Amino acid sequence: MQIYKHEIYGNFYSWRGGLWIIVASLIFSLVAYLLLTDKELSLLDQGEMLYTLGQIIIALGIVIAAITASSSISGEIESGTFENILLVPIKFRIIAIEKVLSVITMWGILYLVCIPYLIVLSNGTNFAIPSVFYVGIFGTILVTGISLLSISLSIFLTSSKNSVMTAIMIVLILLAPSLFFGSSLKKTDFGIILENVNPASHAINSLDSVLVDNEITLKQQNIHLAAVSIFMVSCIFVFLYCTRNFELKVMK
Amino acid sequence: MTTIIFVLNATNYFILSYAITQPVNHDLINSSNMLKITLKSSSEFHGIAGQYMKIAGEITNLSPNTMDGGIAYISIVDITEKIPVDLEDWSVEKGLYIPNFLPSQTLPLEWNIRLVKAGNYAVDILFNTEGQFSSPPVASSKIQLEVLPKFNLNPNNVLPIAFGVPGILIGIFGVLNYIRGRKMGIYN
Repeated sequence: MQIYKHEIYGNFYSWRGGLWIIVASLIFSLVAYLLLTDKELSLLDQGEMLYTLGQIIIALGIVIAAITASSSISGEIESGTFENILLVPIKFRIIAIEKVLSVITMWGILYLVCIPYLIVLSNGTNFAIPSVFYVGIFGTILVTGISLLSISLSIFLTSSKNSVMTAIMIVLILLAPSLFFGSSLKKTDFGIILENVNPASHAINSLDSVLVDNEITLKQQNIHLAAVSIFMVSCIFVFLYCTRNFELKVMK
Repeated sequence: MTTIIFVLNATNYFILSYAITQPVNHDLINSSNMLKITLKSSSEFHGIAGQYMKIAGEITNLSPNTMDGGIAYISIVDITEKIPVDLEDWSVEKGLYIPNFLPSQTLPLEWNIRLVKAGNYAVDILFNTEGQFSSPPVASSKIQLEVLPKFNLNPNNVLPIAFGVPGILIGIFGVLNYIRGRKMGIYN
């Protein structure tokens, strides 16, 4: 787990490395404070407040995972340190898995930071446990899938600029229906198809169903959970394909 | 051809009934004079934002004949801002479709609406008959609705979290940085 430890130290050992988590916590603080104290926003139902914050947490987690993972291999290749990593007597696939684990750990820390905000917003309702649980479940599955996909892009494109740009575009496509489409566009045939095949939309619609419509049981969310799980399994296959015999490809 | 029978009362004239023969003249017999919407809810309602209220009424076919159906819906107008309200957030049920009315039939109408925003509103139930484009909609009397603002939580509850979490994180990174600096001899 040397690569994993190195990545984690890089993220948290200096204050510069950990600045992203402070900025993320400031975003959560700003959103929570505005939702609870702003005259207009505070009129929102608490379920809707939690749903808004849940969307922001998941979106932020996906963006952080995509950017970090998409430059992890190509960045090493560009800075000339990749050969040194390959000298470590472990398979390249294990190295890539350790990098994925480090990205998932970053999400884990972001998730721990967001829990107090979810609890404060759900004060006085029965949404505290469901909001923490579903944001955790959907966030972890999506972040794992996006990390695997972004590292695969990084391996395939071997250029940080290209892989980061492509990963950001994929994230925008995934988040667009939920965050940017109006309700009328979502109801069109195209909107319905896009929402049905999009794992991020499933996660956000599930949060809506749990926190706004009070459908908190796992049974009521099994369609959404199945959809994001299928996405993660697909990403695992892409990852396994891209990491297959990568050492030989580099040698060639 | 339509014949209207007027019956002379001792003091007043009343239209007692329509004796209708084919063909029907829709100018005289249309939804606006043959259907009546009666409110069952109170004509005044005072609530707090976030609260739910029920708007209940009933629609009655005054005609002895079967009438065309249509769509019953509610209208909410913001009196203060003088604009109609988009029902998107207020009510899950936007309208009720009634296929037709049997002679003298009365049907219940009910909506559950969530009071989203503070303000003063006028709420009424409307009914548009299917296909009769020249006839005006049938309307109920108005409900005067006053929605008071609701502050879900005391702002003080969020302040310790809003300032505390970033503060703790800055503190942790500060300590880590200091430990690292001491190891490297920066603070010696």
